[in-house]
Formats: sequence, C-alpha cells, structure tokens
Amino acid sequence: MRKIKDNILNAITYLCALFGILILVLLLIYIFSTGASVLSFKLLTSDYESESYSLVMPDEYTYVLNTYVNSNNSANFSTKWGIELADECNTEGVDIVTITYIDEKSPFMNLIQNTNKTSYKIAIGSEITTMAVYDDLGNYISVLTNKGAAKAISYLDQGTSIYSVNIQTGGGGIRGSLIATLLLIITTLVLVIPLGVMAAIYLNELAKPGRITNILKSMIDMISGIPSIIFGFVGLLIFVPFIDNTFSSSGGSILSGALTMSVMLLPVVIKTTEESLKTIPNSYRNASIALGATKTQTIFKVVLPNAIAGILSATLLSIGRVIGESAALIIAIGTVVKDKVTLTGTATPLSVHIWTIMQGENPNYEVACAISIVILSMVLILNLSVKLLSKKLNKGEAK
Amino acid sequence: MNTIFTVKDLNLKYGNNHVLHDINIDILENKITAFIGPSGCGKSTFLRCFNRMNDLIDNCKIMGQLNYNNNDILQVNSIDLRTKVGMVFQSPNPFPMSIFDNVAYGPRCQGIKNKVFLNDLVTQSLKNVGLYEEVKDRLKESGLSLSGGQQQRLCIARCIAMRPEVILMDEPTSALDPIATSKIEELILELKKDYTIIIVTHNMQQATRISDYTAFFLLGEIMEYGETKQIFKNPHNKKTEDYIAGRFG
Repeated sequence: MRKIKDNILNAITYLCALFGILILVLLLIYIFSTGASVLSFKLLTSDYESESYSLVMPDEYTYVLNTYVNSNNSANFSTKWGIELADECNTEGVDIVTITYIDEKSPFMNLIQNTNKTSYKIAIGSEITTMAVYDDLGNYISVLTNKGAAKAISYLDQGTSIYSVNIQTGGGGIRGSLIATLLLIITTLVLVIPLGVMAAIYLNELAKPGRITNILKSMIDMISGIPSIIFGFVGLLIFVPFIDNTFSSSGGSILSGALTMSVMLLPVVIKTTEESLKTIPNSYRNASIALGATKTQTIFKVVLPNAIAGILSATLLSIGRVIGESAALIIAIGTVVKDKVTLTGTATPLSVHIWTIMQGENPNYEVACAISIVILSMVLILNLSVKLLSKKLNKGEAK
Repeated sequence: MNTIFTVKDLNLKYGNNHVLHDINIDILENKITAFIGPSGCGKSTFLRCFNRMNDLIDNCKIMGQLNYNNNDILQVNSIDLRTKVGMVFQSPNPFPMSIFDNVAYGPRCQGIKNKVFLNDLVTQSLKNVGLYEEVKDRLKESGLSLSGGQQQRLCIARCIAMRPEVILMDEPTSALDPIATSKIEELILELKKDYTIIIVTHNMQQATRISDYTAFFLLGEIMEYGETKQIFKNPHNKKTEDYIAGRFG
C-alpha cells in the first residue's frame, strides 16, 4: 500500500518537473529558431531609421555604350550598366535587392540627388527599392525589385537611359535601443543603489526597533507588490514633467525612465541589502564598538564592506528587472525608437523596442526573437560575471 | 596600591529583570581580578558595565555609582571610555580584513593616519602578544586565516594597540583548546605589568592560576571578594565553598 502511494507521488513529481522544464526549453527553442536567422552583427550595429534617396541622371550626361567585364562571374551582373545586384535579407528579415558592385565607369557613378542636385555616391550594400529607365524609343520601363535581382537586371538591360533610382540605406537595426538599455541600466543603478543601501542601513542598523520601523518595513514589502504599470503612471505624472521642466526637454526621457525604475526597484534593493546586513555577526559590531569606534565608523568600516555580496546581488536583480521591464517604461519613456540616444531625450530600451515592432499591421516575430536573444545573453553574461565576482570576494574573506 | 574602579550600590535592570543587586567592589590597578560564578549570575553583565557595552542593549537601566579614576563612568563619553577600557570577547572575533588592518583598526578610528607610526604600533602590539614571529610574513592575509588561539591573541593585540589602561576579558579561553589556553594565560600574566585586567571565567583552575583577586557572583550579588588564595583556600562564605568544591554550579 505504502509503495503504491510513494509511486504515485513520485510520478506526480516527475511529471510536474518534466512539464515545467519542457515549457521553458520549448520557449527557448522557439526564440532561438525564430530569431537566429536575423540575428547578425549588422542588426546590432545599424540604425533603426533608414535613409531614402531618390537619384536621377544629370541632364548634361551623355551615355556611352560600353560592355563591362563581369569579373566575378556573378549571375546578376549587367554588362550593359556595369552593376551587380544581389538578393538579400534585410535586418528585419524582408527580402530585398542590394547593389553589390558598381564599375568605376558605370553611369550609376554619375547619379545626383533629385532634391538638391548634388552628386551622390551609391554605397555598396544599399538597397534598391525601385528604378525606372527609358528604352531607345523613349518608352518608360519601371524596374521593380520585388521579383528578385535576376528579374531586375533583365528589366534594366532593356533600357538605354536612366530615369530614376530609389535607394535606401540601413534601417531596422537596434543600435540605438541597445545603447538606450545600457544607459538606462547605468542611470538606474547610480540612482537606486546608494538610496537603497543607505535606507537598508538605516532600517537595520540605526532605526530603533518599534512600531514605526515595523510600519516602514511592511510598507516597503507592500510597494514590491504594486504592478509595474502603476509605477509607469507615477513616472508619467511626476518624473516626466519634472525632467521636462528641469532640462527643457519634452516628453519621456531615459532619465525619467531611470527615476521610475529606481522607485520601482527601491524595495528590492532595500530588502536584499537588509538580508545581507542581518547575516553579519553581531560580534563584529561589538568588537568595533569596544575598540572605541563610533557607530558610524562601525557601519562604514566593518558592516558595509561585509555586505558587499548582498549589494552585488541587489545590483544584479536590479539590472535584470531594468532589462526585462516594459510596461512601466512604455509609459515613462515612450515608444519612439531613436538612433541618437541622450539622457534627457526619448528612446526605447530593448524590451520596448520589441513592443514597438510588434505593434501595427506587420508584427515582426523574427526581429522580436532576435532582440530576445540579445536580452537573454545580456542577462546570462551579467549573471555569470556577478557570480564570479562574489565568489572572488567570498574567497578573499574565507582565506 | 591604587584603586582604579570603585563601585557603590550598583543595580542593573534589563526591563523588569533585576540582574545585579547592590554591587560594591573596588578593583585594584595592575592586578588581575577574576569574576567567577555559575552561568547567568550576572558577571558578564557586570563586566560590560566597565566599558558601557550595556549601552548597546535596549531597555538596560543602571543605577548607583561606578567610578573610574574618580570619574563617574555613567557620565563620561562612552567612546573615550572605550579607548581606555578595552575588551576581549568570549569567542575570537577578528574582523574579516587583513591582520595588519585588524590591529590598526582602533587607532585608525581615532584618526591616526601616519603610516610609520601605525607600522610601529602594529608590530609592537603583535610582539606584545607573541604573535609577531608567527605572522610577520603574512600581515596582509585575512585575520580569519589564523587558528583559534592565534585569532584570540590577534584580538588582544587589537585591543592593546589602543594603549588602554584596563583590559576586560569575557571568558577569553572558553572557545580554545588547552595549549592555546595556556598561551593566553601566559600572555595575561605578562600583560599584568602594564594593564589592569578583569577576567570573567568559568574555569576555577584558571582563576587560581592567574588572578590576584577573585569575586564570586551568585544570582546577581557578590557573595565574596578577596585575594584569590584566601577565596580558594579559606572561603568565608558557605556558598563560595560549595561552588568551589563543585557542589553546585
């Protein structure tokens, strides 16, 4: 009888464990399989905003018939125009046609911008959105790129003079959001760690145990249960106008987001630091006091250095929360992806960047997953480094 | 012989718990005075009155007179007092910092920054406790890397680096093995030349070995106080005799 009971309980344990782990593994597999294809160095380093240029041929240009050498023997080379096109995938995973080679004598080297009539050198790797050419008879032939590079070349070769070339460079990258995330983390930590550690010291070392201290402590516990979106509104109502007035900026900013996150993370930092302060043996404090040290000296020379491990884990927890937070930041910073990131200007951290690209008619799952991979690896690296650091610190003490 | 501490009608209460009753005692300078008695008799509490460590305990009330060199201990600045009256605790409690920093901690807290002076002070203090030869090559290592007996001597070195007049010792050998204990006892006898020592001990042999005077505590009262020889050979009080003979306690 007992055996059957044990077996049933064991089976339930194994099933639950298996189910829990399976979900997590599947989630990871989905994220990696979807995101890995678009995750590239280019995605990390390029701008989000793309630049479009409309190019035309100057009126005085005379076309010289020439046969250009296909030196690379590539399939999509136009011997008539001296350019090579290629099918590629842009940072957002959309199929595009890019210019991979232009001959020095090619007419494409002489194009000017339509808007201000200045010469423009087409950069290798630029995306061609549309082109249009005229043939001998003066017929207008539009060269569309949505059917691939080979088709585009065949259309292009029918023409004899260029009417227009529309190109686009970069775009869809997350460089700005990556910088914004790092900036947000640093600003938040600079604000929250000193505040939280000092508050923990007050509560654990200085405050007389009593009703008021207990009320304070339970209030701090309560704050950690408030949904983050509420903090977002706090940020919107208090910090955004405050920053706007102080720095004469407008709208949400990294700084207002960092202030919001600081308020949100205060209870975490206070609690974690307090726990580590509690583990410091009283004999250290007594020894210090008995040596004629003041209470303040005892706190800063003996207690605080021994709480470093706790402060480190509070830091790690805070970083994790900042990287992962989106609801509060959508409200306190905004959802406009920016490439030029400043402390008092708006920008999106990575999590909000995901939110932004998933908005609208064409949610982009690939890039969202790629950003998730970036976030995951950031958290992983931080985790490992903090573990290593605290191990080193503990070793120094135990030696 | 000079009296360094004079205690008159001292009463101490933790909240409603009356711990010490009408204590009267004179402690003599440059002598070793031992407090003996069963656990919970208030001897450690009484010891902590001399450097006001009881201030750290909530709801502790002290009434009566407690004079140190004719100054009322309850009136003087407790931090200045503790630089003159050092303390060694029951279990060795070096700070988790280097041996050098441990010894230099007290002087540094007083604002001494002169490196040459600190170096000399640390070396001298470690020599005084006979630890210098053992650790001179590893002053930068953590104080926690030493053995228990060495740690306790480090704590004594840390205490005498403050150049106190009195050293209070709260069962300094109870956490140590016999060899480490005998080393500490030798050290205490050595230190007697320069310091007044008050030691709380559960070990009656220890009291006979090292102390000049002994006070026997029972239930928060001093039952008997006198020269150690007299207390152990010819106790006037029946209870003292019973305790020494091991009939209770």
